[in-house]
Amino acid sequence: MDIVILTKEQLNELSYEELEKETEKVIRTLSDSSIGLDTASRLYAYGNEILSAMTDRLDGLMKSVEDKVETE
Amino acid sequence: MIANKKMLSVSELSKILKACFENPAFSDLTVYGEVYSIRLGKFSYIDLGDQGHKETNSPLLRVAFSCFYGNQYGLEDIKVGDVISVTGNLSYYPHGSSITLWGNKAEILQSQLGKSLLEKKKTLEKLDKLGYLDSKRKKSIPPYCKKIAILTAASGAAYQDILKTLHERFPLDSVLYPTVVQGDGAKRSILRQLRRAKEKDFDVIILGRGGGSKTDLSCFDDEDVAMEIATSTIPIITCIGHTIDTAIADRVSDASAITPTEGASLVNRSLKEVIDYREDLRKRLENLFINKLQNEALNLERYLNTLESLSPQKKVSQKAKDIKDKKRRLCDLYRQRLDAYRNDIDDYQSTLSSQMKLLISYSTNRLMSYKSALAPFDPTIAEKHGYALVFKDGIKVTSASQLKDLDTVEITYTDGRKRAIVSKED
Repeated sequence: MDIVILTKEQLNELSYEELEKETEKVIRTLSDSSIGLDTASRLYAYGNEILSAMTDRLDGLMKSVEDKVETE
Repeated sequence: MIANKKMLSVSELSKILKACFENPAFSDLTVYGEVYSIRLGKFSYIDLGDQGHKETNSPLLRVAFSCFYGNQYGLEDIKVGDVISVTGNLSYYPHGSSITLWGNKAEILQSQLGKSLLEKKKTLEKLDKLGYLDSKRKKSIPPYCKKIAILTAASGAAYQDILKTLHERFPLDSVLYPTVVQGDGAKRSILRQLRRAKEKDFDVIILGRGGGSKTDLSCFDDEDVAMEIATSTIPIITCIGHTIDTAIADRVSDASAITPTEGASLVNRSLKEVIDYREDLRKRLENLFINKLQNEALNLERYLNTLESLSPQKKVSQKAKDIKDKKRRLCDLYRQRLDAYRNDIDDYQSTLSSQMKLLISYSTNRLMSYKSALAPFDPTIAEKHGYALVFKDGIKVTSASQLKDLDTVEITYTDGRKRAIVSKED
């Protein structure tokens, strides 16, 4: 398994795009039939954690959208 | 001081001015100049100025035509930038304190269109030589922009359209750089705001305009504006419109759209797409894990089966089963053999029985034939007919000569004997 499981704090530092890529990486690794059940369990839990972080991030971003006017 | 001079009311002064402009000297005047703006309608208006001085404080002359959409005077062919001559009468309008030349004839002296097309061609050739028209140069729009600059008129519908579209997409912050996008000062405003925006760390810059005049797109064909767009390190989306004649700004920008809404939709994915993709990732993750679990369960079952098949208990049980099977098979064979014997016996019995019946029948027939043959010799038959055996001294009397009178004879019947004495024959 060439994937490093990040902590919640580390996930919070990633952008939504990076979180999406991290989930895709988890899915790619989980698609490998040679990985064991324990690893698969860890990856599944990790994938769900990233998805939750994505949901939180999206909600947060939607609340914080700002339309500014740059006056001269 | 005031008392020494004649004081006029505004109306009085207006009347004087109006009378001045009614002087024949101001009638049938012909004026030429550059068209700075033109508006066609029930009354059509043209702002004329000195040629080539649009950006400076050139004096303006308002020309008006009283005709429906100017078709009577061929005004529809006149474009901003054209140099025209107008013949008409000057008139003072007291309520607006304005002077208007009421035209009755207009003529294009120099077409801006031809001039513009030539200039545009030259600019395009220059940009092409610099490689700025090469599509390979175009920078891709980041899939997730966090902050973008919008260059358009603050009060225009374009800005509202862009904001509305952006709010339906992946969230981002936007900064509006109010920009004049048509008419006087558009070029200067676009250049200034582009330069300001390019200094910041925006992911994308949108340069757009709403409907506006089709004719007043010259600022988007300007070489300086094109160079400013082409040299930007930040991707620029232009949404200028009018696809028939593509503006140079559209050619050098990284992406172009016809409307501000379409331009904004090139930034980020829609919220629905983002949410759908997240759900897709969730489903794929779940399915993969469920498949993994199912495969592991199958493997486990296979191992258990293998282990069970290899256990001594299973072997003993298998042997016992084999023995039982063999025993059962033996029993079956024995039973089959017995059945075969039984069938043979039944067959023999049947054969014997039929043979016996045949023999009995044959014997019966033979007996019957003997009986038939002996029937005539049956003594009882004679008796039945009234015949009886007569014995004398135990010897059967077969002739009357054997008897004498008074001989005692014994008459034998089937149902008994009687003695009789022989009497004399009558």
